[in-house]
Amino acid sequence: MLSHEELVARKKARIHETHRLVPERTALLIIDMQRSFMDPKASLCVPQGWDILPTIQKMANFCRSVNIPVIYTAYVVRPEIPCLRVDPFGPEHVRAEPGEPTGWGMPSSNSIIGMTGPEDPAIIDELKPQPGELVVEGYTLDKFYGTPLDLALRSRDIRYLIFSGMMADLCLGTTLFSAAMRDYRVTALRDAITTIWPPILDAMFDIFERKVARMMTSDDTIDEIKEQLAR
Amino acid sequence: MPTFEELAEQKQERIHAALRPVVGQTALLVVDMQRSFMDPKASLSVPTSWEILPVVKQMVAFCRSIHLPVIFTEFVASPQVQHLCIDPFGPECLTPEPGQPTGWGLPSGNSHLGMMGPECPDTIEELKPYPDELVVRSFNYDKFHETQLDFILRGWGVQYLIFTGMMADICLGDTLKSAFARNYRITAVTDAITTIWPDILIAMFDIWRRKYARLVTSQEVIAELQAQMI
Repeated sequence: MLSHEELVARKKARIHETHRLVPERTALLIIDMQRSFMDPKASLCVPQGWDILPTIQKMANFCRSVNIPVIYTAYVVRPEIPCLRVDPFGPEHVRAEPGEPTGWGMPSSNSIIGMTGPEDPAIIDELKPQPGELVVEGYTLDKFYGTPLDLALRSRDIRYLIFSGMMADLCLGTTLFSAAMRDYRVTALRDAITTIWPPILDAMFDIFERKVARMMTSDDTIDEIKEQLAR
Repeated sequence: MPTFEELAEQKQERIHAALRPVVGQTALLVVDMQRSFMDPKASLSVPTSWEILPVVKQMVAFCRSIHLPVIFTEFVASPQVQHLCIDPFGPECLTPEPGQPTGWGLPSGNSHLGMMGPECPDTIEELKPYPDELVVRSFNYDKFHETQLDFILRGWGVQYLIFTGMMADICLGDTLKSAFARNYRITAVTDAITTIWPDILIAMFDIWRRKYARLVTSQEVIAELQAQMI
């Protein structure tokens, strides 16, 4: 009989084998790297977004160089779609009252379509989508729900997804689970995914690794793609 | 200017006010309390489930007594349905080889449709659904994904869901986030939800409280529903 540790190692090896990227059937997903979540003046600023930015830039540039599609998601808000994500769970997304203070916990017009300045939901300039790259906008955390993301991936025959961006426990985590439920083979980049709280990030990586994704570093992923292309 | 703590408290108050279940528009969900995950001999046995069982039973009995619909979900597997939840992430759900050992990490037929004994995917005897209660079976963690659950809830006019069962980080958590995407107002019953690892349970509760659900104990939710019956 194999020991528990041997069984765990065997499962990990099997996950690695089933998830090894096939470059022509792979896309890079960049989740919610938006000005409204990264600008230091945004009401929902996630400072850790800046820590992973260089790694995501590196991944995006590498994927472009080998013709792997780069797909962005963006969380957006419209006052005409007053879902629970806005009230009560995201008061910052409620339209700011003229003359009233704004910021965390207060109506600040965060991510409302058409906003300019720190609350603008556009992808940050440092990761600006290139012409021909898809940006999938969603009104809820899960970027598969009510969006053309699944159709966009199917119509390009994509089965393997590389996940990067934030936040691990909200938009990224929910979208990653939904990708797994649609049987996409998910590789999650340890050094290109973040959230505000380190223990929550650890918990999410632990959950992903057990049941929905292969955990990899960006460098190992790049090496694997190069190896696969050289074959 | 209000302090951060005041703003956080304000937000929690608003969450409770907006999500508190309304009798007549509420259903109780019992997620994956199945023999194949609870029998001590099952390859995927979750021993912590026995700790929440009395509370889940109490919630079920109470909801039946005030005619709130009770819905059960079950994760099922079949050799005809090959997907990543089974290989590589759930080897226990693969068909066992005759004569080979079974158990955690090994092909064991866990949750196979038609399986008898410890790997049987039926809801545990102790929570046996009534004949007129809905059981939603799925090959997936997410019990909304490509099932009739959303359609049925809409037909009943349900807008509020009370979540009980397991596991907080997998089937229950994934179903909860899909309920949220569909704009259901979610109450998560803290003493009726579990997973194997206490730190992961704490992390899930923290995430839900911030962005997905209101968290209350079974006693609180029973009291607030009872208050509406008077």
